[in-house]
Amino acid sequence: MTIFSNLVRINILLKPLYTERGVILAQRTIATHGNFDYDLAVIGGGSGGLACAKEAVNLGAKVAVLDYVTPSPQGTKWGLGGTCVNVGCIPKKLMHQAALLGESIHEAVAYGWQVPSLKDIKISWAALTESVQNHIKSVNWVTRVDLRDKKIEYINGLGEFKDAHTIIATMKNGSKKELTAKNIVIAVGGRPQYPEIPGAVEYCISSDDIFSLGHPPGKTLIVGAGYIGLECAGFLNSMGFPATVLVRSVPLRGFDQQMARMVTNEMEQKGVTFHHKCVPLSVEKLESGQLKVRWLNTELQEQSEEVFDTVLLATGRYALTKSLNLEVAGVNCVTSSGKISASTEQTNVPHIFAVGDVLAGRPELTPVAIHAGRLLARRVFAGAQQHMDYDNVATTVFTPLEYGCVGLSEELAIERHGADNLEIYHAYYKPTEFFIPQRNIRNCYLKAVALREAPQKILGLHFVGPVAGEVIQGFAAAIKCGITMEHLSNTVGIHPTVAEEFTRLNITKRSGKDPNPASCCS
Amino acid sequence: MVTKVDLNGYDEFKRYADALDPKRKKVIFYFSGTKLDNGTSWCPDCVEAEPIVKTFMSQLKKDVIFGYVDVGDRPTWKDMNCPFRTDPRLKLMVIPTIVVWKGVQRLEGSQCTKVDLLQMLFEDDD
Repeated sequence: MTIFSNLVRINILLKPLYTERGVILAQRTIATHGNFDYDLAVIGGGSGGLACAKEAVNLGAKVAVLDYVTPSPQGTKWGLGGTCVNVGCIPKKLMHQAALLGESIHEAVAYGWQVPSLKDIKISWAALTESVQNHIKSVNWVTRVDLRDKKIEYINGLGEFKDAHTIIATMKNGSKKELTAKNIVIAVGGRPQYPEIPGAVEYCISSDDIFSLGHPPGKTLIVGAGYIGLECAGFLNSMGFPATVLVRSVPLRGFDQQMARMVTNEMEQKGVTFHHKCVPLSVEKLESGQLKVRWLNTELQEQSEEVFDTVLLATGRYALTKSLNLEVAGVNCVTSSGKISASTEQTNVPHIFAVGDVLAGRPELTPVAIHAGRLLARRVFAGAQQHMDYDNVATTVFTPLEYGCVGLSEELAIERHGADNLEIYHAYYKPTEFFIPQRNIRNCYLKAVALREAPQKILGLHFVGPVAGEVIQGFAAAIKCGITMEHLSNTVGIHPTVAEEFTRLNITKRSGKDPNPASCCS
Repeated sequence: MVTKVDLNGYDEFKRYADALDPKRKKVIFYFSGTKLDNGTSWCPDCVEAEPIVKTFMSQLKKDVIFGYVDVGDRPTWKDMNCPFRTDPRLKLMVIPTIVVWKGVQRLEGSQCTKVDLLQMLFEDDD
């Protein structure tokens, strides 16, 4: 407080000087953006776009950000900040936390907490969604304040190209606004895909809707077993809403499949129902308001049907490039799925760039978009050279038992290096705090995928267990530094933690030895 | 027209706030440190913000209630159990703070000295 007020005082003393510098800055800015309204226009105010815009103004650029949310088929809309803040990471993590807290109440009894009538413990969906939505709205507000404070112009309009330097923004009331920019960043992200089956658009919800759903979801069918589907199924089930998952091919495709099985085993043991090799055929609304879903088991060629209260589609996401009118800007590096192919974030039009989920072949993760956006601004406005390194990005799936990983899956490592050149270290482990409430430890498992040759460079680390994200983040830095199994086994653990299990890895799959922990102690 | 209300201390604030119907009219509360005998607040950040906030509110052409809330003297505010800090509807951490009552809009500290940001309190949310 005192330091702060001193700063304010210094600020007052320096005011005349600041004004002078302001004038000089203004002149320089005019010189750089020349005949354009802005040095940079960003289409899409999500994680990537905002990070790029903020870095650009810090480097003296004049910047505008366009952001507009087309309501979901069910009518859900939200404010500035993109998927992560509004309908992604943030509400997901909060609902995951709500689910974990519910489980903790039951565990607490084993630890001596006196909980009156355990069977009456239930969640108020209305109270949960209200808290989550209030948090989101306050983040929307803080984001808008931040933009205004940094003199970034925020335009709440849907952007499309008129030509390579001109953008038309369609505002909420239908009026149009035109602006020109020397550089343009496409950061429009993506939205949930709807399968082409009867009833999908009319009756189903997606991750766009679940976090603000106006009524408890009840018995829910989740279509899709990617990370979004599994996370939603996980927290709904733990909150007491029966969850069923339709799996088309395999759960968590693209992730290490042994780890994916641990995740789904745990979910099954907690009560989630999985139907494998099944694709939805139709969703029909009954007079009761419930939804009758028919699906096909593609392996057995058998049809089944069941009635649910809610059907949540999590069958992938598509990039929002269609409405951008990219052709008139000359941007032609668009893949068949509508994503933008730009290896250094630069499109075929040199002053038009793309960051975030809209990029083809890049991980769809908030911190990836932020980092790429920031580095891009530094290259464009400060002559920096550094490019985004998309390799070895860590991530975590927030299923009831979380799965964190960094680097290669075992499958991908085998494909790239051959099984003979790899050593896989693995172990089951028992988290200390699981003993007293007798929590299921069967799926607490981790592994390191390393090169076989000494010093056994580590290619991938995988961890299923509590707080997996917190566990894996530091190891991601180690991977960036080129950590080997030698380093790892010379690292002393922190006891008792779950992260220390990485330092204790010593059993290889090749040895055939039992990876289960000794039963005498933890 | 801006209706200005002066509220002294937590009890007065609470009584006033509990009786409000925020659906009827937009209410803005501004929380500031009590003035000393010389007419300026003990809180230097409040001293800086006050003329800017007051000028802004006096020029505002909106039908709102502007509640000027005196949080008390330095020891009252510095007490971590000060009810302005603990009231779940407020959870104040900083003075000065300006909030839209029952809304998410909030400006803290030096943000209150920026007219650009003060204007945002009266814009549509999006």
